[in-house]
Amino acid sequence: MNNKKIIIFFFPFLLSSCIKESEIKIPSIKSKLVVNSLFTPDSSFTVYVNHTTKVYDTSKTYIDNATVQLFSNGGLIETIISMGNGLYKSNFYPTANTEYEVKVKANSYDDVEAINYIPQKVQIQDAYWVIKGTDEYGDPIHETTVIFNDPPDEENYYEVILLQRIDSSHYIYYGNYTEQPINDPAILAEGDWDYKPTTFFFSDNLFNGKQYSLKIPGGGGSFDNDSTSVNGTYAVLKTVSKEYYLFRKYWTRHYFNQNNDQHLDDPLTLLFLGEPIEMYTNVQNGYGIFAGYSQAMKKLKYISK
Amino acid sequence: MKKQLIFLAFHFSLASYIQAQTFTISGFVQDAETKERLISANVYDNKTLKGTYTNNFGYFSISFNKGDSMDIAFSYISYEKQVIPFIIKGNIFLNINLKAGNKLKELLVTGNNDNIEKRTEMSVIEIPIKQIKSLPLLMGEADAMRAFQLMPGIQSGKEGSSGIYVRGGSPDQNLFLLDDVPLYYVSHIGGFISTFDVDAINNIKLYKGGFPARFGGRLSSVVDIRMKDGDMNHRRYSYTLGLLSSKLSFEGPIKKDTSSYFISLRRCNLDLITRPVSLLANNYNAWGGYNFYDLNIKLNRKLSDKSRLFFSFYSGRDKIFINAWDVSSANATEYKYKFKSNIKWGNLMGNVRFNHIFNTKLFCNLTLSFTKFFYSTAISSDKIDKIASSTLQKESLIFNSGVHDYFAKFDFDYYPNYNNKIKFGADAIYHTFLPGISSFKESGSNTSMTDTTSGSGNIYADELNLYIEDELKISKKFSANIGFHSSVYIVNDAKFPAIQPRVSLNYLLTDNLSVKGSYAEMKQYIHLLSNSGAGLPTDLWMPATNKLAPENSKQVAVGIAQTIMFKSPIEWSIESFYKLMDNQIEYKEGTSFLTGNQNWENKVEINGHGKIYGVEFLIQKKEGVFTGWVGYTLSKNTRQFDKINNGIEYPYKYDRRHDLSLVANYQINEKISLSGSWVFSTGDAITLAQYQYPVFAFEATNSTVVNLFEYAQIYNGRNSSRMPSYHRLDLGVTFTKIKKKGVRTWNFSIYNVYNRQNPYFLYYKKNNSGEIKLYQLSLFPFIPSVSYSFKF
Repeated sequence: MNNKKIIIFFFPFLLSSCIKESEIKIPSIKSKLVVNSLFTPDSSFTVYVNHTTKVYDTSKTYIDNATVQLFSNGGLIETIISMGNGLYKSNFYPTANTEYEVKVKANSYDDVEAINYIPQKVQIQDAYWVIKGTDEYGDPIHETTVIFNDPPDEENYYEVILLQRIDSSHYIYYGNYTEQPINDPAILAEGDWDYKPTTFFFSDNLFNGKQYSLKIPGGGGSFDNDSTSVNGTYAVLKTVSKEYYLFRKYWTRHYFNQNNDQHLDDPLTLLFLGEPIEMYTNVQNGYGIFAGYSQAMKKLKYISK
Repeated sequence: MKKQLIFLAFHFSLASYIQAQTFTISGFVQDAETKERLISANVYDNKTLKGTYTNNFGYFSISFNKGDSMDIAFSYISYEKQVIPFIIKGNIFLNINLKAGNKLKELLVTGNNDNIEKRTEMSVIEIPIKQIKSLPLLMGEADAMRAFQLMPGIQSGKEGSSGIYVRGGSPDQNLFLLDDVPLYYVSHIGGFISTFDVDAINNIKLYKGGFPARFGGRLSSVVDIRMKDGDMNHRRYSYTLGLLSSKLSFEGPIKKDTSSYFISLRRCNLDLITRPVSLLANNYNAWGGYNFYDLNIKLNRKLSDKSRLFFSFYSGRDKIFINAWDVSSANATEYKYKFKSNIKWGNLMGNVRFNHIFNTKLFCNLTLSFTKFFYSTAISSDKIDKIASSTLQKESLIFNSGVHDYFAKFDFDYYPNYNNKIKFGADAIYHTFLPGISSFKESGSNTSMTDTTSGSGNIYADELNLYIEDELKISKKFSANIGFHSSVYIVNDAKFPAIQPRVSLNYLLTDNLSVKGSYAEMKQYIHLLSNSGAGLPTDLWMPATNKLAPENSKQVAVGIAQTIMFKSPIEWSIESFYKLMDNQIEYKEGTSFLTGNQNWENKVEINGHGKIYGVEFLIQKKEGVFTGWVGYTLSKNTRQFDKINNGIEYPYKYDRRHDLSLVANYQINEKISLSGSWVFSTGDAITLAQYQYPVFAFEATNSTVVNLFEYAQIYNGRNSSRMPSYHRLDLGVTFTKIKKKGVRTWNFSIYNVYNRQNPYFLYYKKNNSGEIKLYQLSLFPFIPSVSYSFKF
């Protein structure tokens, strides 16, 4: 807030500025394969195969003629078939605590491969939301608590999202909470809140082997609070691999600092934008993410203060 | 160390022996009219060119053998040379008054002890204030730092910034000394102009390498600025009206030939426009703006021929202010809301200096001083019951941060004989760092009282420095400046001692051609955490601690220099340098001042290394109707951190392979002078996306839950791309007229004459056709400006 006022002064300079297309020539480098797959025991294996392109290239990037092989414990499980548009879908359902490997080959591209596993699911013990107070406009401030027991003696990584179920098969993602303050120690310790993360991801560094009550903004509002209805707001606790966690963490910071026009109307952010950072990948010789997770879901209760 | 002490003891004994064979000519060199002491004026025998130069207080001392006959010349740039014949029969003390010369008259110079090849020092730049004022102006404002940016080895930061990057160092690695006292924050308007008002400066000198042992505390440069003392004989006034600021200065004798004063005030004009405009724009419910000021005061008094007392004071402050109010009604009561916000930052500096000449060979200066950098934010809001006239609620939030230092310092100049000029001294500094503290207060008739304070407390540190240097003439052709700067810094329980050797060598190959070399180690006990590059007050000064070790540098330079004699001398030099820096800090990848809501120590990568090397070329004509220079630097500047760019060395953001400046002034006649400058540099190194690929992403909008594709960008390494080259032409013309009551000057300048759109920021964006294109944002197009000044 204070710094925004400092930047008021810079507006005249920005107003007197001019914008034109840059003459920089981007050097050509060899395109690489991109493999994306987030797998969970609740769904069959899917893999997206694409290739890298120049930033201003808007042509399709998917590859449908790749050879995508899925391995476990050194043995081939399946050569996954293409469904078109870069999607390769298997009928195989992965299980927790098993290591999977994907190998992809396609025409002139370098072969790529990646390994990961699905951590054991951690159940939600309890989940509820409360009205903490009102904001400056008199609107209620909601806070959700998600309670779970962290397994002892192991590094665990989590991601929490809130969903609203609108019918038997559809949920709405509950977002836009990054404008609200957060006080949860595990989230604060990640240091990612300023980068406007779209989900809550964190490690168990602060509560290894203990029960933890995660407190996050949101959870109520216009959602259905009828305890007998299946519709309503749900908390999803994903137990994720370290690679999944790094993917989410890097993506949040990477996206915030990208070379695009998202901050152009905000001179404050523009002036103090951090250096861009490369995106995390665990795909050897290529790009993308191959990571597993398991998830638990629980409907939120409303608790009046 | 023991060996060094024995060497010094021997050296002093020898000097005392030689002293018995000689007599000394000593005294001050000063302006004939104002009695302003002239710094670095030359004093030399016209026949043999044996000589010396005045110190920062205009004092000189030079020894000759009994019975020597000589013509001692006293000279200074833009002043008429004075030659006095002497036969040495005993010690002589005298004050030399030099008259300002006529610039239109080309002086025949046959040889000069001050020529670049004769000087032991290297990597030093001195631009006369007159020349700084005659350069094309930006927004009507002459700026010393902007002039230095045109010299080889010195680069500007972002467009329009007056910050300097010396031989690849960052702005915090420059030591700015105003009358011997460091200033921490030297910019106004986010770096647009520097805090140094050229009308208040007597002399300014920049060391970019080969640092003499008397300086310490920063890695990359020392900018030694001396304020004017004030005219001892006449009262003088001047005022300047510019687009950006207005200035007023007055000086004169308090008691003729005994004491004088100098006062200058510069004030920004911007708020004179923003106050009424903001009031109108907000329906008379709010007004605000920005301003700054600089106040320089100098008093000096001759206590005797041998003693003098100086008092210097500087206060500079930038301020952003907003005042707003509103009235609303509820439940038949009318409420008034008042909101006030003030953000202030700046420097405060004061010192008292006492000069004393113990004897013709020993000059002493004692300095007691303080310096303070402050940043504060004060926000308050009141809710008032208009009918009852009572304050229902009052809230205030105050944030303060800064640094203050107290100094005590002794400096001695000892001139044992012609071949040695020894400087030694010591200082003690008590630092107080306030990283940032907030207090929130809430009170009122319908609310409970709250008074909370949070943030980091003060950090205290002590620093002690000792130095000794000897500028010695080893032979007729070979001279050197050898010294040591020793320091110890104590913070909390940590102690950081250091001995920093300094050597400068000069060897005359011919009468007007020399080779030079230097080696300097420097230590810096303070870090600046900054990622804007704009010189904003939000930059965080932090002390070295156990976790953040002091910064070190080692710099070696070699060069060649020559003065070619024409009607006026033309100097040229080539210097190459190699600089290594350790314990550098940098924001962690992706982190910035605004992001990564953590303690500052957790936001930084430490133990970084810097490597800079390059060659600088300068050809310069300092005197005559046509003056100017051509400066060119070829350099490479890299950084390496274990946790940045995968540990791989990467180009520093201001790594510019080529940097060229052409500067010219032409005095058509006594009334009109023209000036121009053209700069060209390689584009800044940037981290620019080159390729992209799709990734999973969760949209933070109320959409159906799907794993959508977003695009990750591939940069191929930090700062691996280049902005387009930077170039710009500035032109100026100055009209001077002697009026009945004084001298009137108009200056018209044009910045960026051919409207080059130099890139400031690059970004990708989809255009109206749906194509993704790379765009550049440019600042400062063609900018004309005018300023008017009158001196009487």
